[in-house]
Amino acid sequence: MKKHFIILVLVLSHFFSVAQRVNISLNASLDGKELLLDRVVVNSEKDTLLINQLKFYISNIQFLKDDSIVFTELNSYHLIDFEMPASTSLSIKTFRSISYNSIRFYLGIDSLTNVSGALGGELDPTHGMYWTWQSGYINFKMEGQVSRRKEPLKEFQIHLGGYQQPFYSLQEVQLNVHDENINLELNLDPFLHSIDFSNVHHIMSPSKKAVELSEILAKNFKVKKND
Amino acid sequence: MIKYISILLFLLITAFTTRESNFLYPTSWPKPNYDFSKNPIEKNKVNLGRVLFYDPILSENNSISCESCHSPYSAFTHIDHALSHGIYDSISTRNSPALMNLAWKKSFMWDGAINNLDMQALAPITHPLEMGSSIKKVVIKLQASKKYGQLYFQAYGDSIPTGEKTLKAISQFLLTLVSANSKYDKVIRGDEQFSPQEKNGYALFQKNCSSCHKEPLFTNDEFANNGLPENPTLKDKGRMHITLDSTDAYKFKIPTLRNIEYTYPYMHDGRFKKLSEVMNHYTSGIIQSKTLAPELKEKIKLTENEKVDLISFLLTLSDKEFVFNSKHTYPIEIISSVAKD
Ligand code: HEC
Ligand code: HEC
Repeated sequence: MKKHFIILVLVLSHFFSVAQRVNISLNASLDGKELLLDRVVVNSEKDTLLINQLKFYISNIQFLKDDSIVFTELNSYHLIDFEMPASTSLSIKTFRSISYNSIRFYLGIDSLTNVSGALGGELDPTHGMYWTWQSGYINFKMEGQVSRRKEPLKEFQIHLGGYQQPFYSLQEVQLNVHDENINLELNLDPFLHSIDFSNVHHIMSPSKKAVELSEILAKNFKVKKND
Repeated sequence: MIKYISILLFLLITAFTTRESNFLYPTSWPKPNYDFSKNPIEKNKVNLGRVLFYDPILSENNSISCESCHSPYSAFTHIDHALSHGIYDSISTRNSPALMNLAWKKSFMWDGAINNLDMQALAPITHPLEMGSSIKKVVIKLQASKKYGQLYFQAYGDSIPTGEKTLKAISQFLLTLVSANSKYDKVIRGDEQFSPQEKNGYALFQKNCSSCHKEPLFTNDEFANNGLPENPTLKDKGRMHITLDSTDAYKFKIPTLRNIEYTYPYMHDGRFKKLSEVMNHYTSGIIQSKTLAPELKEKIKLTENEKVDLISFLLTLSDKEFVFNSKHTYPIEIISSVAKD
């Protein structure tokens, strides 16, 4: 009897347990310091940078335990916009408590979603993350001003995307995690160093370079230890 | 009991199919490419899309609408202007195509830049030479409008416009632009007959043209280089802009020839005003190049009489009912039934 009761309680608690959540926060670093929009930064290579927009999509978030998937978020599309601080912390409802030791997500929007016509919510084209003269989501957008080694400041716009081969720029990121609250940091330095800002100020369509830059970004997410 | 359940199921299923089949087309045609399950045709959504299509609110300075470049009376092209005019009288770089039978297309624009009809409207709304606005600004303007509050409510049960709802409603209207009742269609159905001249033209068409301009849509929706010399000022490389692949240079979307009588000037840059010029291009104007379509490498031979016959066949593709359909024109009856702004 007692045993049955325990099982009953266990079963019930499984169904009625309060929704479990995993909190993920994102920030970006520039020259080793936390990125703040609209601030002038002179980096170690004497480049002057002022970033006034940084937006990207994180999609298809999954939690894994020893490389097997324990939870996949449904309808998982998140627009991270550094102008909207609220968008940089995600709270993922898992509905049950899960045990995981790594997280996996896409940087960008997958090909199928790209050809699915008009979509709403985070994917609504009013967010400015959809190309207009040529179909496709912009996976990653950075705009600002830059001057390389004392040249005059110039506007730059980097819009990365592309949903068709050979310029499919979607990237998968997988990271080991330890805590329930996950702090992710995107180190922008390798990315910025691989753009020749003396000659290039606009990257705004699918291309080989856009794929390369997307790969660099994907490799530069890391998990910060909670303090 | 089982009987009732199956009747119920049957009713449910038929309810859904009638909903889908609000989109009507000849049974002999191929299946449309548009995914109607994501945006089932409903009268109030079509109405909303139609009002949007005719409303200059979609442009930055409220001066031009979709109709400015796509007039219903010319099968929704910009008649008489080789290159379409936009705001501030700037000229866009391409000729506006006629709009019809869009549900069958896999991609849009002369170079296939657009992958889904829903996303088409973003291009002119944002293009600095066309409407010069952004979907965000447009949605903000629509949200401030009483008229649109009512129209969005009727269409979606929710009066707040969003980008998604706006684009899907425009698609709904565009999807209803089906042209399938030309003399050619009547002949195919057995209701009418070609004249001897048209009949001869049809045979010439099938021999020389129908591999690309494939029946019944009069396009196979592929890209091809049909041998036009490069326009020296525009230097438009067509499909290559999208694929960045030099084997796609000078390939353009094969346009439908339905309603060709109304859709002059012709080609992506509107270089020809008359069908006789098009005939002369195919018989003696073709420029040989690496990407020229294989079927055009050998000269097409047509006598002057045969050219006239071929044109008389092309004129059987005119669908007056389509061009003068009052369901496609300025939606005065819808606008007068809702609040004024
Ligand atoms: C300033 C003129 C102009 C305006 C305004 C305009 N268009 Fe167009 N439209 C064009 C041109 C030019 C093209 C072809 C462009 C290209 O291929 O690069 C085109 C192409 C299209 C196509 C693709 C057709 C095909 O067969 O590939 C559709 C659909 C369309 N327009 C719908 C619209 C809608 C809806 C609006 C209003 C939101 C609109 N247009 C406003 C000029 C215009
Ligand atoms: C190899 C494929 C191919 C063949 C064969 C072909 N066409 Fe075309 N046609 C095209 C393409 C591609 C275009 C658009 C070219 C452009 O604008 O750059 C076009 C455009 C046209 C247009 C202009 C349509 C418009 O709305 O601007 C007409 C008319 C036309 N073709 C008639 C014919 C006739 C008549 C024949 C047979 C004698 C023929 N075509 C054979 C590919 C073909």
